[in-house]
Amino acid sequence: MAAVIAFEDVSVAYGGRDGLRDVTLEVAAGELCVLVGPSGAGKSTLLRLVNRLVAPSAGVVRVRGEDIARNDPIRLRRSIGYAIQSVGLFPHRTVGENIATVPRLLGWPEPRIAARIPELLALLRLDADLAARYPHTLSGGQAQRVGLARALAADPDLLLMDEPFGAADPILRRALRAELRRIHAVTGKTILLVTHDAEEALELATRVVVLRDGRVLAAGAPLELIRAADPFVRDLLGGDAPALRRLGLVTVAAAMAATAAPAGAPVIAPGASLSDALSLMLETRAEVLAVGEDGRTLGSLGLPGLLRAVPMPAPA
Amino acid sequence: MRGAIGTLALGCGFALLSLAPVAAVLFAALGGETRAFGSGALLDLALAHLRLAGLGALAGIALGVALGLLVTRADGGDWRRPVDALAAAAQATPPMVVVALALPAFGFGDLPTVLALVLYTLMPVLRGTVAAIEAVAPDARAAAVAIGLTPWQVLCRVDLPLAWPLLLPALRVAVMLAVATTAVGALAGAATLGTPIILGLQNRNDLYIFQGAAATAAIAFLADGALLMLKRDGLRRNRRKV
Amino acid sequence: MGTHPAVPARGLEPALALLALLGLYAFGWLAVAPNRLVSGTSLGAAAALGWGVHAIAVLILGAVALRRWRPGLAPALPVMLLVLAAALALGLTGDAARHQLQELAPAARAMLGFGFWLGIAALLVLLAEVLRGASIWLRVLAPLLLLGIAALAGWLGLLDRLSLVVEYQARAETLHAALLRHLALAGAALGIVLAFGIPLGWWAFRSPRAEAALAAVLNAVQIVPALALFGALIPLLSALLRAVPALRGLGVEAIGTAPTLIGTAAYAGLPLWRGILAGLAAAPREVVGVAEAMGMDEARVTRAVRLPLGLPVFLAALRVAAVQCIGLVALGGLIGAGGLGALVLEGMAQFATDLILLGALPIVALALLADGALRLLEGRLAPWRR
Repeated sequence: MAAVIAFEDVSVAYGGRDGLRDVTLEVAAGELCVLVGPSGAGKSTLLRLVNRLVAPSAGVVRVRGEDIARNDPIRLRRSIGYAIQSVGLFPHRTVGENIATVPRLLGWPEPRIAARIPELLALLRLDADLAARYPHTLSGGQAQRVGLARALAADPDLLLMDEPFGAADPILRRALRAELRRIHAVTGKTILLVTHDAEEALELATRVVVLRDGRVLAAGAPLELIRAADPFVRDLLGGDAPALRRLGLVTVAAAMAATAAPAGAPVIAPGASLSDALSLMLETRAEVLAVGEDGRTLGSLGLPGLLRAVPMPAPA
Repeated sequence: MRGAIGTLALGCGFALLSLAPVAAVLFAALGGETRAFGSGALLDLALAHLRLAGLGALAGIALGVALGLLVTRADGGDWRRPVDALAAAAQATPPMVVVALALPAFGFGDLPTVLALVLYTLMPVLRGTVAAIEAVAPDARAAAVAIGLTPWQVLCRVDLPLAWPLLLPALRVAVMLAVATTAVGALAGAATLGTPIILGLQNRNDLYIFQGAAATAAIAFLADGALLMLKRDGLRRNRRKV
Repeated sequence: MGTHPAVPARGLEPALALLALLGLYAFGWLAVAPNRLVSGTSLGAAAALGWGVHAIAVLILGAVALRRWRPGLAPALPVMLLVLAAALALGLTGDAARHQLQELAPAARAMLGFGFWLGIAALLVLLAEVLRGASIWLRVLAPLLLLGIAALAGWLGLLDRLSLVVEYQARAETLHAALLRHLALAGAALGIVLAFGIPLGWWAFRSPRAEAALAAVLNAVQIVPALALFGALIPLLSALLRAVPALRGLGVEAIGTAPTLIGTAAYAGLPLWRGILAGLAAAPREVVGVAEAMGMDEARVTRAVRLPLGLPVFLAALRVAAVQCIGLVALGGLIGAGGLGALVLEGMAQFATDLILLGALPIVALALLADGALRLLEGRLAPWRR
């Protein structure tokens, strides 16, 4: 499959922080690629190269196969969704008008725009009445969702997100992450997302890219990277409890056995993570859980099965 | 500092221009009026101007600050918006109108001018005081109350030191308004630097007008420069204390 | 967002009511004089208005008491009480003037005293304060009602014997001409300010060096007292006209319109210019950043983001500049430009209080009107703030 975004030996020269050195990276269609790293690593710079908010001092950036330096930046930007931490909703426009921004810029006919707004509000599980309100009347979570709706409005195949949930509180962040995963699954869009939060990166990404001092340190699937050889990457992603992090990345469905659980065993959903399962076992003092959904029993998950599902590398 | 020195230099330049020999030579070169207003008389007027402006500004500032402190202490309500609205309304009245309205009540002379000065400087100072006091961080005040300071101590040790730098611009506005309005006082018969301007207008003597205008501008720039120096000094001292 | 408390100041309305009562009971309300140039004998409101003075006081106190002890009450009732008080004060005063002058010579005058002005001013400020929390229709209706009552009283001849009205009737034509002249001068000055302020504001927004230079010049102009600037323009323009006589052909004179417009525009230039600059910079950086990232070009960002977000700031600057123009043009009366300022100066020269008031009241009224109208517009045009 062709890469939607390709960075070829890209450098950005800044004085010290936030520069990039010889970055080569491809993002394939349908990926949810998360750029993670400490602040000043160049994550946002890499993201902003894609819609030409930043120009490379060397190298080539290709979007959908074309060298973007050769094309009109305005047209490029209109074809890419963009969401940022501070949301940046236009305070003088209603929610509906905010969402309609890029469709208007693209010259969509009004009826199509009018139909698109409730569609997006529904996709983000927002009340349709919100369309007529001004941004300052929204709660933080609503504003974040409207920002995402605006980014998705013209149905771009590519979405750039710079710390999109950075300003949200922990509970809201969880909800928004789940929302993003769902939207990614439903729409199949290519998403490039920047975060400094390793847990967020592992939870969201189909592929994680770790940056440090302007270089790509590692790139791969979340489970692979937790086992990475590089101590910096391992520390960043695994934190103090790499085993627990990994438990959080595997679903119950992937680890369960088809055998029936003993009667009276606590029930867990197949979509829950193994860390949820372990937590339930500890709370209920049960060594075997029943896996079920909507009243149907699918199988069981015991402590040995849970341990087998997360093989750990031998200590170095 | 550069701002203050530049302003003072401009003031000195205008003062020089207003002096009879300089202005007369300038006008002779341009082919205009040559009957000049005597430098000694001009200096007397300048001193009278300063005395009047100082008196009026001082009274207006004292009254404005006192009133501002009084209302901010009164009930903890929002005084800023109504005071702002009142100040805006007062500002809508031009100085000439204030002087004119004071005239029938107090007759010709210095008195209507002083009254106009007090009325005219009062509102910006009151507004500045209220805004400055209300801008004091509530945390600082709450902490002061919590450690057992009396209301008087809160005022002297927290509110005033913290509000002082914010109050300075309002005081500067008041002084500048006073200097400008005092010139208009010449219309009500007060002896000020506006007097040569009025005399020149009445007698069609452009040189008088020019001298009076230059001298009035000079005194305004000198006053502003002095205030800028004072502000620097005040801020530095404030910082050292903290 | 300010740090001030949201609770309204409880002491403000009682304080204003107290001022109104002082006007009613402590100072002279009406002065009766044998002619327009002497001050005459002063009467208190109680002596001039009789029982009505207490009715006015009760209406004011009633309105303030309702506000204080029935805070949940809609403002309509207190507003109506205050409008009634003002109407009563006006009508009874006109009637008192007629009564006092009944047996005196035609040259005799009944002049409004300090108590009247204090009382009316406090009453109107109190009314404005109560109206601040009221609905938009009440805020428009109450002043209109008040004006209507005053006009009706005037039309019925109820106010005819007040010296201010006598003076007005004697000089109605002069006053109307002066008013139009004043408006024309202020409008022209504002036009000049806009014509220069907008491009200079844009220039300063684009270039920090231009901003610094323009700020230095305009701030320096602001320090020069208005009288000095207006005065200095006369010899300067004379010199210019001697050097370039062709300018006379364009209607430029050393006195009158030209120096008035230049001086006024020079002063009002700073607030407008600063407002244009602040308005252009009013859009938050991240909002501009997002607009660019979504594919708006520079012209579009300006049109769709910067200008609408700056609009309230532009309007506030326009308001300040308009109020300044109306006030400063008054000084033009001194240098032969005519207008209401000339009327005030004539009154000062004659020591005729009524003539001073006749010139001064419209100046203040015009300025307040411009201020209020543009404030109302600011609120209307920025619905996203509410």
